[in-house]
Amino acid sequence: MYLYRILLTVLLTFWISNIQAQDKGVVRFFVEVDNGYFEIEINDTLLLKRYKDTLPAGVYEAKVWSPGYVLKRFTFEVLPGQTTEKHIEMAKNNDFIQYELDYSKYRNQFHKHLTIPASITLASALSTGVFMVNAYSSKKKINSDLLLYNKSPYTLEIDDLKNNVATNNKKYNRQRIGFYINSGLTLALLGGTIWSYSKFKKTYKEPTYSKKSPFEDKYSLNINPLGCSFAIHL
Amino acid sequence: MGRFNYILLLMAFILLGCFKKFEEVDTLNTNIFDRDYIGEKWFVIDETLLYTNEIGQNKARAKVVIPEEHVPELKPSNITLQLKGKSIDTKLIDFPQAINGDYEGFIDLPYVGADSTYCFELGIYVVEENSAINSFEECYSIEP
Repeated sequence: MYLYRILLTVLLTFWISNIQAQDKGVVRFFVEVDNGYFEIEINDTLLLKRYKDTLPAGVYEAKVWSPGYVLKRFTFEVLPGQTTEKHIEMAKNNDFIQYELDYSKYRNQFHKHLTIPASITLASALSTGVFMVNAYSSKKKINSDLLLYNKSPYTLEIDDLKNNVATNNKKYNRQRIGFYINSGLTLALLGGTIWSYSKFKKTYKEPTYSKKSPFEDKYSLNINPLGCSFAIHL
Repeated sequence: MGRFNYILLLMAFILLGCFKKFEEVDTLNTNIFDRDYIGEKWFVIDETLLYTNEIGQNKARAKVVIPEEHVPELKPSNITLQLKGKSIDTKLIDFPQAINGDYEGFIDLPYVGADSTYCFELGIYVVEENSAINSFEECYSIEP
């Protein structure tokens, strides 16, 4: 008797879930937006933030929104046990088009006033570093040879040392001049970059665009220690 | 002047001090073994005397000293010098290091009388080239 009850319960559960599955269908939304984000409100009551969901079969009215795009209304039908694919083309709104233009101009000015001068300064600083390392290396060799010169009692060795000193000294002079010129240039470029950036900060302001969803105030989810609630503000 | 300008100025001073010109390169002529040596005479006559050698010849002998301070830091145990003179053949003389650190050797020139002046030329001998560098002339006389 007990086994019969269990078997009946399992069969009933399977039958109910099968019926439910037959009444539902899957819908996939392909929303053409650049930013990859969208929100879909279905029948003014359900807010979807994903591209796929399982819904009861039927015809639905929906609104789709994405930051910078015009809110679009559309209808779709969910067929039981089937997957419906809905392609939605979105149009950018004028404010967003203007924002994109303004932002592009702003970024251009940013690159002109900071990225390019900073890159040149960095390249100059790196070449200064190369000159410095080479000059230091030559200086070390010269010091070592000068020390040996004062110690050596061998004429031919002294000849070699003097030749090395003369060669390295020429290199050293070239490198230190290069180092000084590049250091001056780097400092000037650094000053110029700072001046350019401060001018940019004073002259240009980053354009902003509100990405607030029109559905944001309509739905609210409250979670507190006493429980949770979900509300739709009609 | 802002703080930034001070920092720039400080950096400029630091940079200028980093790589100074090597003044020593233009004055590499202080080693007596350097063929470009332009310093003072690097040997002195310590004493002179009339000396009779093993075969009975009289020689005007001069004890020559190379002071330790003229020799570079890596002190050799012996310095070979080349001797030249009017009345003598060119020859090599060894100057070993004495206990006091100086290098000492003897110049023996043929004795021609107490009133005469004896002159010679000493140079640092370069074995590889079989020649002498940094030669200096010196004269002496024998006290009667």
